[in-house]
Amino acid sequence: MFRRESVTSFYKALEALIGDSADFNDYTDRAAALLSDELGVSVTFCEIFGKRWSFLTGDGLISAGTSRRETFEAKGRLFGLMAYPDPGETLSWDLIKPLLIRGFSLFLI
Amino acid sequence: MGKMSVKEWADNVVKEEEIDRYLDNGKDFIDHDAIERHLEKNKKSDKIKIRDIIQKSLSIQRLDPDETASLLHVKDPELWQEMAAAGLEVKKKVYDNRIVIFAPLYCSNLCVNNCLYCGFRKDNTHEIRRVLTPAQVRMEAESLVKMGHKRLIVVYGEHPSSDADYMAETIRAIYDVKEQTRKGTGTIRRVNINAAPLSVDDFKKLWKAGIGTYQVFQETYHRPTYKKMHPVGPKSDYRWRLYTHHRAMEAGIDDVAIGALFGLYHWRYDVMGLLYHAMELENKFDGIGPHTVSFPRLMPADNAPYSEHSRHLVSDEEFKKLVTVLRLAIPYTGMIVTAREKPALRKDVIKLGCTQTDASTRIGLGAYSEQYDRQDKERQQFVLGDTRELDDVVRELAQMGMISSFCTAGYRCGRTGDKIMGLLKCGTEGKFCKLNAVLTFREWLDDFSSPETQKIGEELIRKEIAEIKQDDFFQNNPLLKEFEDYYQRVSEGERDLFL
Repeated sequence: MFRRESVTSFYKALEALIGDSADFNDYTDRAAALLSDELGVSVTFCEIFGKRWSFLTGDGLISAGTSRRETFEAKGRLFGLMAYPDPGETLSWDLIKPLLIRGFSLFLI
Repeated sequence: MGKMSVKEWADNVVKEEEIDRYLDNGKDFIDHDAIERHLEKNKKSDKIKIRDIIQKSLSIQRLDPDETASLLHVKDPELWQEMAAAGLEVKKKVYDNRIVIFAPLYCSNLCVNNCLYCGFRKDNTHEIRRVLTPAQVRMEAESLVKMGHKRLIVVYGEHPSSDADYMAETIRAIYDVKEQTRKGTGTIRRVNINAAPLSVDDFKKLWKAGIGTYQVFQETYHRPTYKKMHPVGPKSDYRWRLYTHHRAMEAGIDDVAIGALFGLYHWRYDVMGLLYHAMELENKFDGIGPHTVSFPRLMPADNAPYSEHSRHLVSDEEFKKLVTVLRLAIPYTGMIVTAREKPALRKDVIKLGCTQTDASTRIGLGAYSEQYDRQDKERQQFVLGDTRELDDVVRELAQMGMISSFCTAGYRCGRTGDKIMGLLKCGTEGKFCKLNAVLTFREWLDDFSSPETQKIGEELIRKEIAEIKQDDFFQNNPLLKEFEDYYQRVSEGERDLFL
């Protein structure tokens, strides 16, 4: 469940990170933390090269088990999100994805 | 390579600034005098001291040079037995009882170097030279997938025709392969690379292509021997090779693999060299040591007389000792024994705590897809000791109570570098290893095994699942339920599910 009072306020918080973050690393760190805190799941961001998912940031690894894995592209680079445990209905991926792409794209050179 | 000649290309490989920046006050990390001193002063240790060192290793702490030198000088057979048993226990703590299976794929044998012990050396006119096209590499990978392989170590000679761009292209070609199997689809899921030292920019090309582990061996850490063995070419630069893992790490490749070719110089010295190398990587890269350590022995090679006449050739007994000490000295690392060794010895050495081995190995160029079944010295770097098929090796491991794992989960979940090091040292990664070993073994049995191997494999899987269910780690852990769900789905034909 969202810890904020509404889905809208969660999206606003994610959107606000774009203005508040210093650079790509700062943005991804904070976005991962926000997702983890607000959705109540552990989240890890990776960049995908070939078949390798290279860790970028997040707290999902230690609790690693079956993960919900989603991918998205920003500035021609492929990224992945792993969420543990499977958050089911709580991760509204279709709604989060455009915001993440927007944030990642803005901070990537 | 533009208009550059091969010689000009070779002359421009080494970039001094990509060595110098890693040095400490102009010195590299192999301190010859210190190694000699450690070896000299630790020639005699009492049993209590040796047993204390064993206990330290069993707590998954890397040993220091004095401790390692003490183990290297043990003479008491009883203590060697204790050390061997401890090595296997260390391995089980970190990796459980799985053995990761891989196959080598040789892409090219043109080389600008002239290593005295190697069949690929440029002055060896007997060697049939070849660089596989990406389409041919793909055919090799297709053959390997049909055998059941999921993980490769891809090998290249050092030459402009097999430069980093070529390597990246071959990695992509291999990842593209998809073959139907009995119950599902087979692919290569992890491409590791064994290649000559590269610059940081070139490593970035491999990184972007999706390399798994970057592996290169120093051959020997003993400078005078190194100089003698590698008279010309980029490989003659000891430090360029010594710091190649640093450059790979700087480029983002955080799984790197080290090794020494035992038989070039004294085995005790090169064990110490490997330890120093592991310590250096830990020190410079926030605790990330080598992902694996390899310890190939010098083998006869075509038209390379030194390969048979070195005065430092390692006997079987010495080989077992060096593997035992390496296992204890760097407890968190993976250890690879290959088909260079004959089946009986390989079996013995696996029981000393090795974590990976190859099978159905062919090291000739095009040998998998062109199906020449005898060893062809003119197309090989050296002569293999074990050419058994994958099914035979899997069956033998199962008879030994060890499960063949085709797992490639870690690097597809961000578990590399410092992430996997932490999980290895606390034993958590081993739990994932066990689950993923069972899942991939299930796949392999259903898709590739012979009836004989299937039979013993089913018994082994039942035992493994029973162990998993009894393991305290999995009690009240959602992982167990997830594993059971995955196992059911894999049994029904779904593929590539991992934890």
